[in-house]
Amino acid sequence: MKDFLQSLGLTEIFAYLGPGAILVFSTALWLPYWLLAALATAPLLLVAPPLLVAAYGLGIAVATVAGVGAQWSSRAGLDEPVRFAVRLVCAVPKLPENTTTVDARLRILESFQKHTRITGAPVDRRPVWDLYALYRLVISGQEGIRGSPLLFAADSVHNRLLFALGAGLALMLVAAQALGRVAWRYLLPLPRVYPALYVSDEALVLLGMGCVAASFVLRGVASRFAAQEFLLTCPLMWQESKPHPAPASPATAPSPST
Amino acid sequence: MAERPMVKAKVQDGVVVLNVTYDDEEMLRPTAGEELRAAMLEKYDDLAKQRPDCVVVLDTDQVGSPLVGALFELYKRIISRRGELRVAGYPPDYMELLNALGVTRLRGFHLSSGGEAGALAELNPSRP
Repeated sequence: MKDFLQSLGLTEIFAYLGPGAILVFSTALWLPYWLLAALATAPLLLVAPPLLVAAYGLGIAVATVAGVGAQWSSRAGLDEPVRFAVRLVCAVPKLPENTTTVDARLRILESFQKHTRITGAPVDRRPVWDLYALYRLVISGQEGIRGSPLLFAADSVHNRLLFALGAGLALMLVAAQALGRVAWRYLLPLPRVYPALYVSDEALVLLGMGCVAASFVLRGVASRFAAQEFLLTCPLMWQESKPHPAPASPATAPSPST
Repeated sequence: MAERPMVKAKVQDGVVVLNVTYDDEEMLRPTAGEELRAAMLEKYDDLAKQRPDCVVVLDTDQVGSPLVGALFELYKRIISRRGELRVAGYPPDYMELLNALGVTRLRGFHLSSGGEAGALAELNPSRP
């Protein structure tokens, strides 16, 4: 298990495993208590691997939905009810918009297409920060960029952004489960007896409201990270687009004596 | 040989209308974006005497960064003169590109769905 976690790396743990684990733990609200008891008493090596895989898979699904939601909410011509629903469920970072930011994004896209020789748009149906991450990856081996502290800082912020987006959506889904369980008891004409773990209604409401609040806080944090990542990628783009001086040939290089 | 990016210009109700047509394969050339940009700016500068507003009518199925770059340069020129840019005929399949770059959220940049006539009607609401 230790090897599995090490092989995932920080990006995977932050971006996918964390939010997925939140959702996996939230199933405790619904699973029958006999199953929970069985899981709690079973050997760790038997239980942990499937839970990790489930968390990882759910995390990837959550990150994808969060990214698509962010992209969708900024679509022009989207019906307002749809936009409202998307913004309610998905964390949507607010990015700075003016001619200078659009200009910088366009230059990043042009440079990315120049390097990859692909003229199609890599930002189709994916958030714009994916373009920044791909772009940094493409230029990371270049002279002047390789090992740059900016590159490292931008990648770190990108991981935090993915975590904030995924965790924001996962917490919103946990809130829906907690509040849904209360609503089920009082509002829906369904059998009220279910062998789930006992949690008082007050605690469920508190959990639901807390998760909604935490989700909205994470959205604010995600906005900050999205703006930071963009700001950290821009200098790399300018540095990369600068013409590099040709290496001095031995014939023209000044001799040590001069 | 493939056709070069073609920009036809006219003035309708005082508004500059640029009709842009190009061969998809032609836009793969490294200098295609620069040529398109230069052609659009040149025609706009020549004709925008009465009003700074401009309508760009696209006749193409594919869009890449060269066209978006050219539209953005034209937008900057228009907005510096306090005008508006309306783009008609933009392929819906490539809308994500404009959204992701943030172009659609810029003040004074609009996409029109009613073709050239629709875009002109939006710029001249009093016109019958």
